[in-house]
Amino acid sequence: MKKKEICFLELDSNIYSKDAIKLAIYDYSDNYYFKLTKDSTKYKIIITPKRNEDSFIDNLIAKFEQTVLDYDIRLKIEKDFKVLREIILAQAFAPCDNLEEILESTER
Amino acid sequence: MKLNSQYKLLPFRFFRMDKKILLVNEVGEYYFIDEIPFKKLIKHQPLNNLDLLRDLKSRFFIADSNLHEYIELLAIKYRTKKSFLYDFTSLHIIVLTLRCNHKCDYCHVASISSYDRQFDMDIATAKNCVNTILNSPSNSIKIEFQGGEPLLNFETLKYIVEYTNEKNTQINKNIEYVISTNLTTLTPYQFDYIKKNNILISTSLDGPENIHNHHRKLINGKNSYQIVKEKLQWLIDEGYGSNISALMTTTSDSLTNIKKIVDEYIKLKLRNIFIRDMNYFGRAKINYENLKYSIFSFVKAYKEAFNYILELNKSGIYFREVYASILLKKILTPYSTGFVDLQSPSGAGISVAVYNYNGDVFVSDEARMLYPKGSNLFKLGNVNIDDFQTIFNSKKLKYIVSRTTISALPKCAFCVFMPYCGIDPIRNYDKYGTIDGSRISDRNCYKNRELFKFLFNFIGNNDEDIINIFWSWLSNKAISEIMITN
Amino acid sequence: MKQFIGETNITNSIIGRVEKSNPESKLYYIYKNKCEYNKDTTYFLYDNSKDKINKNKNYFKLIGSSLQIKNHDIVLIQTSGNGTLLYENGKDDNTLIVTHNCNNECIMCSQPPRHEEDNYLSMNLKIVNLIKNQPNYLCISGGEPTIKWSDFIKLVELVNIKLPLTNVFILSNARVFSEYNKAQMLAKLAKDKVKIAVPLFSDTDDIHDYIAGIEGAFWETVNGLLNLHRVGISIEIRVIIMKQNVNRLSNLIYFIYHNFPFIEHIALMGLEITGNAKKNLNDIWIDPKVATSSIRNAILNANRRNMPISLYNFPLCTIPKYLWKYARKSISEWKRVFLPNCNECKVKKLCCGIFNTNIGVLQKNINPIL
Repeated sequence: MKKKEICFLELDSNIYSKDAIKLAIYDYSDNYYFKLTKDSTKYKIIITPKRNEDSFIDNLIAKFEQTVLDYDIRLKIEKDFKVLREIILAQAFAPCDNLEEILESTER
Repeated sequence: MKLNSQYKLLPFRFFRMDKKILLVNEVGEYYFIDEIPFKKLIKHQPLNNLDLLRDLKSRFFIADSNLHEYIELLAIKYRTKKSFLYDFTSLHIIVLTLRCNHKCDYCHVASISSYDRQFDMDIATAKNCVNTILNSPSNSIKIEFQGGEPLLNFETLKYIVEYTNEKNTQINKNIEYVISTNLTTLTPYQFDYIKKNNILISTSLDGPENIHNHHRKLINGKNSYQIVKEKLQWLIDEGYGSNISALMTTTSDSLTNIKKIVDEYIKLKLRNIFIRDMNYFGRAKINYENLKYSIFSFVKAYKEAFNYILELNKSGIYFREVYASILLKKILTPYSTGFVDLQSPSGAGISVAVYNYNGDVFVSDEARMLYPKGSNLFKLGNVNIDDFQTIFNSKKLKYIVSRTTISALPKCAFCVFMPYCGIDPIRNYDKYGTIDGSRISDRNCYKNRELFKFLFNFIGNNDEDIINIFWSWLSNKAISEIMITN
Repeated sequence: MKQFIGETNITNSIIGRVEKSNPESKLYYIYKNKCEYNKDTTYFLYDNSKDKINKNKNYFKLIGSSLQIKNHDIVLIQTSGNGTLLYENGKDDNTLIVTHNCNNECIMCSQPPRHEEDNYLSMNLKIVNLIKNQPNYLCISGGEPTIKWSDFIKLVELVNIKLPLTNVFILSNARVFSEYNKAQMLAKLAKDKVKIAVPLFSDTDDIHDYIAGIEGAFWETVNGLLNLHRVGISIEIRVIIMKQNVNRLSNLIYFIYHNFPFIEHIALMGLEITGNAKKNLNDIWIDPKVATSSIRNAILNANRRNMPISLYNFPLCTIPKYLWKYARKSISEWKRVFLPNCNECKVKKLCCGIFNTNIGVLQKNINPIL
């Protein structure tokens, strides 16, 4: 990528979630400006470097896509164990005797 | 052997390193996994590799049908990691005087060069400080004397030590004393007293003569480096070497000479170094334009120094980098560290408190520097006016705790290093106007992430000698006591 | 326990403490009670001397035994002429067995439970009452001593009262202590004097339960360890090394460090090839040479973390020299043998020797260090 260029990226909205895209954008917002729009099937992202002396890093698009996918994974597994995390913290500072029951009830 | 290949995921975070994916669980236990099993793991697919399945269970990344057993153990370990909470305020920094005989360019404590004793802590205030401190529920208290140059108000230091020891005969806490001093005014009388009371010494050495003297300037124009060197040699010859630690303040000079600085430390027989990024408070803030350097260059220099330090250790010289040791303790052990700058919730106030010469109590050193800015948030009271409850059971502390528990911050929530990390509310407040300072480009965040990645690279490569060095720093043993030679 | 035989005229079995009539005499009395000589009820124990036996008194004459019975030892002598040395004066490794039964069924158990009711309580209490010189350590073991809970507690209680200077070393799988109130009870009795050694075979339940022979054993033992720590009791962990767990020794060290950082000592142990260990030998045996690298890494990881660690039951010639400093003389004298070619060995005095039951299997590995 040459300096002062603009990067266009399209992501299929059936595969990539909005939340994951936003989280990925946040990670890169140090060095880049992002404009995010959506039509019926895809997200459109325009990326420009923040400072004149910056240029796009190698493989920015591939890295950005990987970051979005990773955030999708994080959001998904967060759903899997969010409740467990809260229970661990609760058990750490206000322990209960009936931990087994509490865990069973969260599975229903 | 019966193995349940159905499993539940326990809370964890992940990050892609060079060849493997780093997993870190809620209590800071880590594991390196390959891409293919990782894909299966996140999709809850059966893991065919039995040993991988066992590894993930015993490192608490997955649980089988005995979920409550895993949760119970994780809760216990979580409590251990946060045990600094139970200790409450255990580090008490007493500013004996604002006066100093140096006028360092980067002085973040904004010392005063006057001989006017109005900037010394008086006995009455000192007494109230000690009374307040001994009310802390901690069983182990560390009192750190700072300034200016604390040796310039030695009478009050002595008073504090005697009064504390006297009161402590009833209370029986574990009390440790440290003095942060430039050493240049240390007299034999003072050293005797320090020795007798086992006071630890923390001093500043920026490097070889030209680097040290560049920014650390004695008011009387004399050669700071020469005097510091003499004093150090004297103390070490007297056998006090293991009670001394030294830190350096990194300036742009140091960045290009970092190995020379390490060599200087070795030459003076110091056993550890704290390679510290600059604190842009006080005079450093005023001189910012002249002193500033990018955090990228700091990290680069740090890595260069660290690699050099590893080589020295491999060649048989025990020499420890203090910041790395703190990070390694978080990564490799189940324990919490006493390092208040990297704690979640932040250590400000709840782990450390600073008592200014006039009795004002602040949640941290930086808070004192920032004053009067931020006083509504960070000044807890005054020992001459307020009692312990008023000072420490305050809405201010609760506010800080609630806003510095980083698991709640969007930037930190998914970060793989979150279980090891923490933020500095005062620095954030100063820079961004809010104590959580949720900026990706934050200098401290960048530094910590880079250093965690750097250390995890070594851990992942699992070179036996290097891992032995890390553990020799953590357990304070010579490598020869750890290694097993074939 | 050491056995002996003799010729006797007693009409009831006796447990008693051996006392010399005077320092030069070769004649021993056997005191049934702690108190003094009573010529009507005291029994005479003759050693292999040619002294004339007074057959009007109750006597037991040792036959053909090289067994050294010493002053203040405690013996059981039976009408059949069989005798057992129950307690040796001056030794710190005496063991009282609460029961031979067990709630585990370990695949390498050297004394597999017989699954019949046994009752050693009155014998054990008697032994404790008879001990003349308080030992530094007294071991309480089984089978699993805690499954006969009230016997176990009564015994600990009596040791506490009668032998206030003695530390009690308990061998237990700790499963019973997964009930917190049991841990509390033990702590209340004797917290500062008790140390407990618990076998933990692996960092995962599947391997541990397989070795222990009971599903669920792992988690009960883990909870037992946690409860014992909560009530302030000192704990040591023992790991018997066999084929099933040898590859995960370092993993076990991590697991112990992170989950039980309070453990005071870890003992890595070689097999005693008797009982179940003999029966299952082909399944469980691992040649020490093959196990070396795994043992080395486990010890390295323990060293790094300041965890005291030792090797038990590994003859010095079966392990590399750099591991010798961790080896201990762990095999009880009465079970221990040296092979003929050990006489040339330079380090024989430092070596634990081998179990007399291991001779067949280990013979080829034993070579003197010259």
